[in-house]
This record gives sequence, structure tokens and C-alpha cells, in this order.
Amino acid sequence: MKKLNLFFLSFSQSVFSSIILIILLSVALISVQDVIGQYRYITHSRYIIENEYLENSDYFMIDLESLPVEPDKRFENTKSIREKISSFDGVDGIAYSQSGTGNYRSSIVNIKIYNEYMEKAFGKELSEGKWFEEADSSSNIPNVVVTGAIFDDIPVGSDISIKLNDGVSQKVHIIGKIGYPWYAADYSTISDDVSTKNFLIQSNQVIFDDTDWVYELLNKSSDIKSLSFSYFVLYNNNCTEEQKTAVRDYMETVGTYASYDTILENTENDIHEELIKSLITPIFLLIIATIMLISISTLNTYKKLKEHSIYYLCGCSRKKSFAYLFAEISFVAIAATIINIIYVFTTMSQLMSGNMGYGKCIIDYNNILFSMIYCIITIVITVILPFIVYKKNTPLEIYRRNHND
Amino acid sequence: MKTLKLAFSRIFTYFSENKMIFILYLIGTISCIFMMIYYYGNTLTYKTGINDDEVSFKLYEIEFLDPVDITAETLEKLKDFEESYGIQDIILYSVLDENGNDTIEPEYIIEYEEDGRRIVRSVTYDGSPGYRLSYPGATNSIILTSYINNNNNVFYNPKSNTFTSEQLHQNVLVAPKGKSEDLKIQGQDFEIIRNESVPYYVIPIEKYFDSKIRTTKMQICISERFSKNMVFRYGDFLKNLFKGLYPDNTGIKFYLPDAFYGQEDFAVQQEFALIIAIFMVSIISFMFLLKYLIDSNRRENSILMMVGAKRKHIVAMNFIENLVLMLISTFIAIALHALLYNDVISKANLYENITYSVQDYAIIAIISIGISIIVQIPFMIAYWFKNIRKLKEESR
Repeated sequence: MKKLNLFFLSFSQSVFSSIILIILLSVALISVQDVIGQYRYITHSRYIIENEYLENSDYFMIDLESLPVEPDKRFENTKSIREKISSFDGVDGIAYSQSGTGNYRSSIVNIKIYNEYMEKAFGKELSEGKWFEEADSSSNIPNVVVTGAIFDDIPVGSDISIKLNDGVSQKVHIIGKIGYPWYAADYSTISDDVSTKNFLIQSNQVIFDDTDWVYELLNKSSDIKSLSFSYFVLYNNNCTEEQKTAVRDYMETVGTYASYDTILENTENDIHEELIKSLITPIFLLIIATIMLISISTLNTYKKLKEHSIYYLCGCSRKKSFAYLFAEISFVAIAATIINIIYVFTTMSQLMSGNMGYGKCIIDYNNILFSMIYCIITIVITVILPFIVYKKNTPLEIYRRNHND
Repeated sequence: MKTLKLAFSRIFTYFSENKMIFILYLIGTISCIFMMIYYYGNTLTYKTGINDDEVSFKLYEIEFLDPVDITAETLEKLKDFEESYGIQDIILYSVLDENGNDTIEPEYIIEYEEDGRRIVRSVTYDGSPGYRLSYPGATNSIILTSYINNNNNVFYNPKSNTFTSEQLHQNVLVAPKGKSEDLKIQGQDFEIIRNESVPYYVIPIEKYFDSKIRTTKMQICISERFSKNMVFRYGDFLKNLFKGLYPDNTGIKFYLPDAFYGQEDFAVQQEFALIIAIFMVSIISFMFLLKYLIDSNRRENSILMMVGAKRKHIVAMNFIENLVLMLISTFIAIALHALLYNDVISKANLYENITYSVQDYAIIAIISIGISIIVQIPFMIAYWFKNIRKLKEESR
């Protein structure tokens, strides 16, 4: 208690500068966490897209201007384009999904029907259980893969009921889960410089297999539509360059495409350019905050030398005396790290409860590791100068100097 | 002068008596200013130049309520301007009916009186007076365009010339994606040569004039964006030119890119505010070091007051000391930045071609010194309320 009192008494003398430092360090750490989260998201999306099935593919995007305005005509047009692309020599298949909406635990969930190529193309998404191909499909309850905060507590192998659009409940059997951060495939991007980060979305999703009976079952009571304006076109291994050119020429007449290599190239650019740009402010804050911490700690050591010389004369060892100084110096870095850990915990609990989304960013308990490492490094760097100052000035010298004054 | 000399001698005392703190103060303030210079160049929109090539800043639009014949005279007048400032390209828009003719159907014409004059005007398809291009999807109309300079890297993807030199003299057109049927324009057959991500049909300019199609809208893209004042001057030039050429057409509308400049100004203000806020918070902590240095002179200050120095003189001297120290830090930071710029710092820039002018360095110097003055106000106020006895006591 005495030691704690001594610490707080000493800390109260530099409370204003310490508060400013804690605020600055916390803001810097939180903004760095955000950039780290973005980096982790991009690399995660690259991990999902980099696979043997997509290696030989193009991402095709229909030109929406070229489509009729009427919904039925639009539907027919997109279907005929898809069929036309599928019919080209060298095309193995099209990885596309059909979408609708449903309801589970009073929350809206996206219903997706993956075709077999979609399952292969985004196979790496699955973190638990298995995909439809490996599952037992003899039951009359449809197999599903789920993702999202709402399904987080439901184990693989459970049966749940999803409400479809007309209020009818449909029992489904969970065979697999896309775990946290719950990023599932998304084709909504239509852009000139599409990169892997555009292919994932964080939402509550129930994914069905594309079999006739499941489609009919869902189509009865849901609004499942095949309005896919963009998708991956997968070429077979024997596809020649001429065959590819023919497909690409056609795609150019009705839309645009991005090759697999272009997508990966754009992803590298995203990592190098965009992330570095978003790093300026956090790095600026972090450098300044660290220099500040070193300066203020050294200043405080200077200010406290007189008091510590008295402690020494009263019997406090030099080791113990420096331990008090060390505690004061570390306090700011530790406090900022604790604030950062609280931020990560709060964000995580909000994400887990489904109250918030953290788009295009991955934040989890691993982020705490960064805060800890930063805290340790900062304390080590910060303590060097005060230690030199403390070592250079012996208590007796300080006492004599002050006594003579 | 005497006060300045005294301030300098006291700064020297700070250095000789508290070397470590003095050096830490200098390192801290220099690094703050140094980082601010880097931050200034790499975040402010007008320094990074990210908007310099943005077409929206270079596009001037003229809409004609009643379609007009763009004549050689109009182009000559515009070319006069091109010689002085440079026009990258001009795009002409026309609305044709489903048969490819620019005749306005009788049901789309209304007559009314305005200010005692009888006005004949085309109408939008919902029956109200207005611009036909506003509702391109409302009928089976065809929107036709043509580039004066063959799309000189300005509009739409791909950013290259639209037609080859041979095609420029042929009845050919580029169609939007998904359109595969050839067109008849003003009775002549035009063949689709390719589909592109353009929202409208495009034909060569020679054929556009040959077909005598009337123009509904015109977009001028200048080579390099103007200053804000020049935008309005060019706007006035266009207004005078077109109102002079078509005095009977009361429905000419001009759209300048001034709104984008406004948005950019707002963004720059926000970026500036962020830089200032971050710098202010950063510099406050280093003021604690300065306060320590100044406090170490309390005994001297109390003696000065005892021999007749007024409190305002002491505060003024402290103020001058801070100002001089900040000037030294600013000067060193700017000098270091300028010296290391080509070999080191330019390589760490996030955007290419960032250059720092004397004016930029002056702005940074003013900001850093101004902020240091603001930040030291609370410290000066605290000092103002200290009397001789308090100073003497604290110095022990």
C-alpha cells in the first residue's frame, strides 16, 4: 500500500503530460490496429482467391448499361450471356451463385445457392465441417453451410429452421461453417481494377447446394434469382490461348473481364499503395508519441532524482528506487496498451453479438499481440535514457548538490 | 535588443546546464516539424496532385434547349482559345429518334410566350419544357456522340483514340456493349466496328458534320485544369461566345467544374485541420521540457524581479526564448528536409512528383511557430501569476 501511495504521489506530479501521452499513444495504437486489420483482410482475401481452380480463370462483369431495364428481360439476357459463355470451347464452367433472403432468429439472412464451380472456387472459405460434395446427401433435409455472427454458437451437425420469405419455415442441416471473420464470396464488384479484396463480404449467410430439388424447394417460397451480373469463368486445363481469346472477345462485347493474374497484380498494388497511404497518420503519431514518451520519462527522472536521493539516505536501495522510476515510466505505455486491449475486446464483443460489422478489416484477439509487443519494445527503448541519467547521478552527489544550493 | 541578447544568453545557459533535456527538446520539436513537412506533402490534395488529371476538373458543359448546328465558326472560336490554353478534346452529343433522324417529332414541340416573345421549344418526354438528354431512357431515342480530336485520352474506357485514321473517313460507329445491330443515321448506313464501355454511340467527327446532325450538348475538356479564377473567366468566355453565336436560343445552359473545386477546397481545409491538430497535440508534450528549462531559471528570474524587472518583462523574455528555440528547430527541420529531399525523402513519398516550394516551407514555418505560440499561452499565464516570493521559494 505504501509503495502504491508513493507511486501515485509521484505520478500525480506529472499527471497532465502523462494524460496527453496516454491519449496520443492510444489513438496511434488504435489507428495502427485498423491498418493491420485492413492488411489482414486483403491477405485473407488473397488466400481465399489463390487456388488451383481459379488459377485458370477470368472474372467477368456484364456491362449493366447494355441490359434492358425490364426485370424479366434482364433475367433472360443475363441467363443467355451466361449460357453463351459456358458453351465456348475451353470453358470448364462458371462459378456463380443465386441469391435470396430469409430470416433466422428475427434477423435477415442471405440465402445463396452455390453451383459446383462456386464451391470449388471458394472452397478455402470453409473453416469447419465439409462442403456439399463430401457430405451425405441422402436426407430430405437440405445440407447448408452457414456463416455470420448469428450462427456462431451453432455447432456443425445441427438442424435449424430458417424462415423463408413467405413465412414458411425450412429445416436445414448444417454441414459446414465459414468461421470468424465470416467473410463469404461476393460478386457485387464491377470495377476496372478489381482485386481480391472485392470478392468477400461479411454477412449472415446460409449457403445451399445447387441441386434441382433444393432449388425447387427454395423457389417455392423464396425470391431466388439468377441475376448474376458478374462471375468467374473457369477454363479447363486443355484450354488453348485461341479458345481463351475467343471467350474474352465475346466478353468484351457484353462487358469487361479481369484475368486472374490482373486480379493478383491489383491486390499487390492494394497492399503496397493503399495500405502504405493509410499508414502515414498512425506511423506519424506512433513515432511522435514514442519520442515524447522518451523525453517525458527522462524529464521525470531528472525531476525525481532529488526525491530519490532522500529515499536512498532513508534506506531505500538503488535497485528499489529505480524500480519506482521504472514503474512510472512504464505506466503510460501500459495504460495505452490496456486502452487498446479494451478497444479490441469491445470491438470483438460487438462483432460477436452481431451488433456491428467491420467491413474490409479483420480484427481479433491476435491484434492484442501487436499491442503487447509494441508496449514491451517501447518500455525497453524508453527506459534506456532514464537509466543512463539515473546511473550517472549517484544519490550522494545529488544530495550534496541540492544541499549546497 | 538587450532583451534579445539576454534571451540568447539564457538559451545558452539552458544548453550548458541541462544538456540532455535541451537536446531532447530540440530532437522532439525538430522531429515534429520534420514529420509535419512530410505529412503536409503526402496528404494535402493539392500537393499530392491526385486531382490534377481528374477529368471532372477539366470538363465544361454546354447544353442547348433547342438543338443547334455547331458550325466551323464555333470551332474556330474555340480553337482560338485552344492555342492559348489547350483543349484536349470536345465531345458533341445529339439525340436521334429510333430511325436515326434528328427531327423532333411534333408532339415534342411546344409553343409558348415568355416576356412577350413567342418561343418554340422541344420538350422532354413527360411533356414539360427541358432538355431531351435528361431522359435518354424514356423513349427509343438514340444518343449519338462524336469527338473533335478522336477522343484524345479523355473520355471513357479504353483511354485511347476511338477510330484509326482510315476509319475517321468511313461510315463506322462504336456501339455501347450489348448493341450489335448496325445503325442508319440521317439516312446513311453506319457499321458497328466494335463495342466499348461507352454509354452512347460514337461516330467519326467528319461523318457527324456530313450528316448535318444538330447538337444538343457539348463537353469541352481542357488540357490542364485551370485555377479557380480562370474557371469563371473561361465560363464567361463560353457564355459570350455561344450567346453571340446563337442569340435566339434562350435555353443555353453552362455547367462549370467550380463545384469540384469547392469540394477540393473543403477537403484541403479538413486535411489542414488534421495536420494542425496532430502537430498541436505532439508539440504540447515537448513544451513540458521547455517549461522545465525555463523553471530551472526561476532563481535568476526572481533576482531580476528584485532588481526592478517587471513581470511582463520576464514573461516576454520567456516568450522570446520559446520563439527563438522554435525558430531554430523550424530552421533545422526545414534545412534537413530540403538537403535530404532528393536523395532520401523523395524515395519515401507516397506520390510521385511531390515538390516543396519556398512558399510551402514558409507555410509550414508559420504553422509551427504559430502553434508553438498558442501552445505556450497556458504556460505563460501560469508564470504571470507567480510573484517574487513564490519564484524564490520554488527555486530552492
